[in-house]
Amino acid sequence: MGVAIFLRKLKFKLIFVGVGIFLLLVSIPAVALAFSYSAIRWWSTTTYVRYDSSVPDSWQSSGALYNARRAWNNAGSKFRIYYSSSSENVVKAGYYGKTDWIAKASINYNLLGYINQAEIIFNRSYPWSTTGASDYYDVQNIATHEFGHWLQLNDLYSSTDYYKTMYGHAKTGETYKRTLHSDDIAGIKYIYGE
Amino acid sequence: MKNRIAILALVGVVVIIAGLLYWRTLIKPRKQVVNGILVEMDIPTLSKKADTILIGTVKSKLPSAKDNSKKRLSKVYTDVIVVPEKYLKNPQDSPELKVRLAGGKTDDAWVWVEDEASLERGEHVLLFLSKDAEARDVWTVTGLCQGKFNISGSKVKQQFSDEEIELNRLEQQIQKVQD
Repeated sequence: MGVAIFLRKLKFKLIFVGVGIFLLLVSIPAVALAFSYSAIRWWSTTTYVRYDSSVPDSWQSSGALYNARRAWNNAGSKFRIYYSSSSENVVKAGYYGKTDWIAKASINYNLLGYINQAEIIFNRSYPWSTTGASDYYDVQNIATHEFGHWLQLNDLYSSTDYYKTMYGHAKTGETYKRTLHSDDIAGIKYIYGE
Repeated sequence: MKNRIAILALVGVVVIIAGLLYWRTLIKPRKQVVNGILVEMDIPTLSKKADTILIGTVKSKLPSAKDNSKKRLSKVYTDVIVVPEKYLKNPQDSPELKVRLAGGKTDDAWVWVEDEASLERGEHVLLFLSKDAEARDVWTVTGLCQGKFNISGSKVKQQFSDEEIELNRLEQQIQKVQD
């Protein structure tokens, strides 16, 4: 008899604990994922980039592109983007007209969701600067955002995401995307580990 | 002896299948995602930039195709047919408009463009449209996802936005820019 009561109590306890664990698992992602991740990723935690001849020299000599990579390299995750003149992953610039997009990142990936090759293209039909000048788009600001796409963090559009690097719109003179928001950092750590 | 040959043949078949799978899944790029960063546009800016503004319904989606124009966000595009009910700027004569969206799926490529407007059959929408820079009688959504609003009763919501506003209020904002 005593054993039967014990088992019944144990059953209730197990149900209670099970429901508790379920609620915890459901609530954790909602709290933690203040970034958007596409579920595509690089196979390795190191990738390489080269700069095409179409990229103005001043964008490299000013350190704008280097600093954009460094922001992600120093975010505390295992992921690194290094320069290599022989890399298939390339940053380009060109004149594409006032097509409403300032820059774009194109990522080729396979059926398993691993990235084969990536590219960033800056649209020079819009005005660019490396100094954060008020009537120009800032190269480092936009490059930091685009390298975030290489990691496969998606754009964010909510007004609450405005000051994150991965916010999907940009204005001239804007430089706050140069510095990663804690949620951007949480994103790269989530994908590639600490 | 026969067993050994059978085992070798089996190993050979497995190696060939594994090789094909490896090539198809790990080596050959088949899919592409394009993430743009967009010029931020508010309603007055969208209203000024758009060549026409309408309220209408998405009638159909045509098969995706390829285009090598550099101005597009991707080499694959998809056309949709929109039937206008009401124009808020620059009415057009045609009973239907063809709207070109970046991205889509062809036999050998699948491209998803994150920032493009998404238009699905049957959707009731308010669209800011620009004339396509490359093709005649083709339109694109102004500001990409920023130029598409879903209509639900008397409310509208911009794609990706978490804020709903009154359709009347949006129409007034658009009208104000034109006055």
